[in-house]
Amino acid sequence: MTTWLTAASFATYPPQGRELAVSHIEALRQIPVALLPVFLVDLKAFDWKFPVEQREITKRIEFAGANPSSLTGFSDIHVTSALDNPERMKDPQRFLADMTSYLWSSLQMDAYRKAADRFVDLYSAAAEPVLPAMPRLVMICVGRDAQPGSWQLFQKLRRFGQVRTNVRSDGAAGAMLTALRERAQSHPAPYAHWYVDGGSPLPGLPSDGVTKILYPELAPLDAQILARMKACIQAGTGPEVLHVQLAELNQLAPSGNASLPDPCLQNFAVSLLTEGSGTQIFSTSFVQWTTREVLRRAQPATVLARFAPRQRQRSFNDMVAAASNGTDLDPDGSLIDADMAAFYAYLEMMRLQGADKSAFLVWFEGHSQAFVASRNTPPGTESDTPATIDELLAAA
Amino acid sequence: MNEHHRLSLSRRDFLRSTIGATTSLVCSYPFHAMAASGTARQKAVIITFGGGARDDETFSVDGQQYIPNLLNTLAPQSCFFTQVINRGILGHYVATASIATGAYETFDNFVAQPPQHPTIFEYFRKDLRRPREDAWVIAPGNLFAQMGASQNRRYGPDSGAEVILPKQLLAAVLGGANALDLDAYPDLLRDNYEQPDITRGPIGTPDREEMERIIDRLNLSHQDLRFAAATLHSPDELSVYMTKHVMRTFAPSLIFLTLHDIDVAHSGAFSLYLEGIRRTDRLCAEIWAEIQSNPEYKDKTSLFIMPDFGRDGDNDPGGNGFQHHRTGSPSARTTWMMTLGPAVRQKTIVERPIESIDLAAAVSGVLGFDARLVQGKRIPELA
Repeated sequence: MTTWLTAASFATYPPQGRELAVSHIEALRQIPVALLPVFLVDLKAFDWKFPVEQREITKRIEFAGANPSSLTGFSDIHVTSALDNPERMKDPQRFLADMTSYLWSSLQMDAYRKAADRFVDLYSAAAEPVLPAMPRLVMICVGRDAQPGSWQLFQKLRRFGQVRTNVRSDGAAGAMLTALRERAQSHPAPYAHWYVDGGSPLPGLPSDGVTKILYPELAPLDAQILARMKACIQAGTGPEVLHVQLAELNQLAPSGNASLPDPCLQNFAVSLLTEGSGTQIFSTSFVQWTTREVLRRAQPATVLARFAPRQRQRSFNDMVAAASNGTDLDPDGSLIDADMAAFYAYLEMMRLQGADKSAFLVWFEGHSQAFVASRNTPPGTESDTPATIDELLAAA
Repeated sequence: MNEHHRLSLSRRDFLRSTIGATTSLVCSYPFHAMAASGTARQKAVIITFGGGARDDETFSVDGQQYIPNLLNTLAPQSCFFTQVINRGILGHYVATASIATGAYETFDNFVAQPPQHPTIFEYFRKDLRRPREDAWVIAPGNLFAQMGASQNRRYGPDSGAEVILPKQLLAAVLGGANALDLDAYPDLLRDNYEQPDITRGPIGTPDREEMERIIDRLNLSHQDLRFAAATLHSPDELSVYMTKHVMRTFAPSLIFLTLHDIDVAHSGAFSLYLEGIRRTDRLCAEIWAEIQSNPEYKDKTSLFIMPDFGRDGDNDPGGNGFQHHRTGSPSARTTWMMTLGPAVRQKTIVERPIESIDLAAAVSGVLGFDARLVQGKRIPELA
């Protein structure tokens, strides 16, 4: 238990996060120090979290306070006095990084993992399900400019749904955009409908009701982050320091140069580029991580994510020193990246409440191959029956 | 059935159907009996299939397509351990050092430093009074520079291995070249995402004096190295080139080769991770072919191939699948080991779990030294 926690401990936290912490100070004191930094990182960034995340954080603190027995595994973890220290409150990111490093070096990571699994299981069982306003739909375009036949698509996904080999490509992108637009219009809500693109957006992208994350638009932000990475590499401070410094950038995001008008979205965009690995240099890694984080954090009703070819691999230092959008592209490699990313998006979708009613569609852009998974789709099957994307969406 | 065991069974069933292997309690003709019968002095080559390879992309049914050489050429000649667990820190240098010491090292993975426990190189050289050129480490980057000898006072650098860092050697050779020369070798000087080479710039200047000493010791001219490097495509290809050169020049009894191309996975590009696995598979077969064609090694060399650890599982919500090895899940901790050589009973599968630190004890059995401070257990199947 962290009995040294007081209201003053949160003096430097943003207003909403501070208010939540102070009003729940007794609950927070129940949390063993090994777990505390996880909660502190959330509280420090609370003001820029999505609404659904804010509700989740509040409920998790309340659950921990009301159910101290759910935390017993963490109490058994030995922590040094350097970590069990009120001074650590000021910088939760560094606190978390140091705690993680300590857990590994003291060979207690397995015990921590076991305690975390137990806490999550108990919390999930007790939490009221929060369903999306309409059955969730995730649509993904992969393989722009890639050669068909260079890679056997949907190897990982096929056991969960149906591979379609005769999909009409004309109008396919438009049909996906229409689905996004109509869902956003029929069930408007903040951060409920998303469009993510690794390159220039599809023509006709809806302007209202859809939250957009476009990789090229984040180029100025990416350049700032790459400059920080480059400085860190040249200073020889090491990957751990680099990681912490990037995470700290995230906390400063709202006051930094904004690439996006919405502070919440700006903070999210910075987190994508600072917490994601490879997102700064590969557009495919960016779209994969963004889609996963959109689903995990915003728990939206609709996502349309589109992959663009990434730059070809060079030396990492070289890619950091240059720019994120090199001109030598690797479309065939990007197709493989995106295919795996689609599988990860499916897994993330299935972790959310309402998964049993969700629908999932992947289309090989410009070609006749697609994949569909929904409660109406027979898993592990393949069909060469002619179909349009409209028809696939309607049947899902 | 726990997750470690499930992974093990999947490897066993797959190998059995592929190579007709049998499960056995004994997978070798006793090494000590070979030594007693006057068999020529034994050698050992250890390759870490790294950094960090999952079952999903190697020995699972889905992964077989990426390891044709391990599967079709090496597995039928091997004794295969289906369940090797790494219970230590899942960072590449600290995990590799732990394999070399036979004890879980707990130092900061991102700081180049000697391991705390004695390495197999020190036991080997000190116990058997072997010269320095009889034990070599070929490693991927600066962090591994001090892996050849420990901080243990009874051992230490005087009984340690020669350590080659091929990228740094090449960078030293190219150091004085003009920019055009440097541009010709970008793939070979590739650093990795999690461990960008922080001690220098994009090409930079390693410790030239030390590099020159090693180049000198290797009997390798700058021109030879530059010429050879021009035909290679990755840091691991360069490491294997150096390994073959060491084998042909010194024929050392103990070689520890750490491959690392696979760790490009941290960039999140699945295609590059798969490329790394395919390349590592090919390079392992090249080393085995070198052993078979070099009379100094043929019929007296044991080859051990083992990933340093795995990577996070697809279904682990705390990770991001293949990209990292941060969760400590069974997928990240459980790997396999393949053993080949004259003492190995071929087409054999060992299902019982062993730990990655047990390898040191196995090597001590092959070479006949006393690894007295190892924490890893003897592997009876290889005794």
